[in-house]
Amino acid sequence: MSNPKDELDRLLRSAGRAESHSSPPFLSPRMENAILREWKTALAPRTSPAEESWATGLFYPALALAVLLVILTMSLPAKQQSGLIFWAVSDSAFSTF
Amino acid sequence: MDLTDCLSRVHQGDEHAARHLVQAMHPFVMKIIRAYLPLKESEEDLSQKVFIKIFEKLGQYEGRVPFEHWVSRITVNTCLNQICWERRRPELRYSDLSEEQSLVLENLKENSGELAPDRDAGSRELAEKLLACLPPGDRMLIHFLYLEGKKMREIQDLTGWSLPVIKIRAYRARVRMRKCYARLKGSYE
Repeated sequence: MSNPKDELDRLLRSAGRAESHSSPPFLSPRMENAILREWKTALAPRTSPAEESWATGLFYPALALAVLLVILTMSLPAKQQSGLIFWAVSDSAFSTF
Repeated sequence: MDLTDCLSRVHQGDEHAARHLVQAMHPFVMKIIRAYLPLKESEEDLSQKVFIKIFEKLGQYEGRVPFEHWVSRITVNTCLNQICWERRRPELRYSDLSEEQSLVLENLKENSGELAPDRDAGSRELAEKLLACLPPGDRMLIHFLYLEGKKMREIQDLTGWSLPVIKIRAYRARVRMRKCYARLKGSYE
């Protein structure tokens, strides 16, 4: 009768021998394509360079214009400021265009 | 293809280079995943997750450690992060064993010598079943140490764990595995 500690050691040694003779994992074409598909969808740029440059090109001038308008508005006297803001949010501003 | 060249091409979105990288790293990644997932469930899903993480973090690889070590740490961490959905570990009973696995158990009890080579496959299956009862970190450590015969230093490179941590974890893992084995035998006797 052998002791339990020794039994576990012998089991692990025998399992290790089987492991050393096992064949290397096989990469199926289906699996390979699935990984590359994930890579493309998750990591490929979502916008084309042309779209990106167009978006960047429009965003920064619009931001600069908005900041300029805020600064100009703040530099006006208080009465004209409120008049301008009232005009901007009223229908008259929209009807101008 | 040279590794540095391959990595920079993958970074630029070259599909051919990405395919080459997957083919080169797949056996290595799968060995670690199998050490973690002995029941062979979801290993494809897990390997997909690992490769996506590798590609995502590729820009962070600075070449200070061998690329395989860097990949192995991502793989180990991804595997260990699966703990949350894998908390329930089965209780192994004698009735769960196949005929071959039962024979291995009986041989171990009755003889004190090494098991015959024709029992190795059954031993491996039985060891995998016992490993499935352990927490993932313990399972991986036992797999590396005893089934793959890796040295502590190699495990340190693969996991990033310090040597004292590896020694303590390995000791505790063996104690847990011995308990599982004793329970399995108890369900037979």
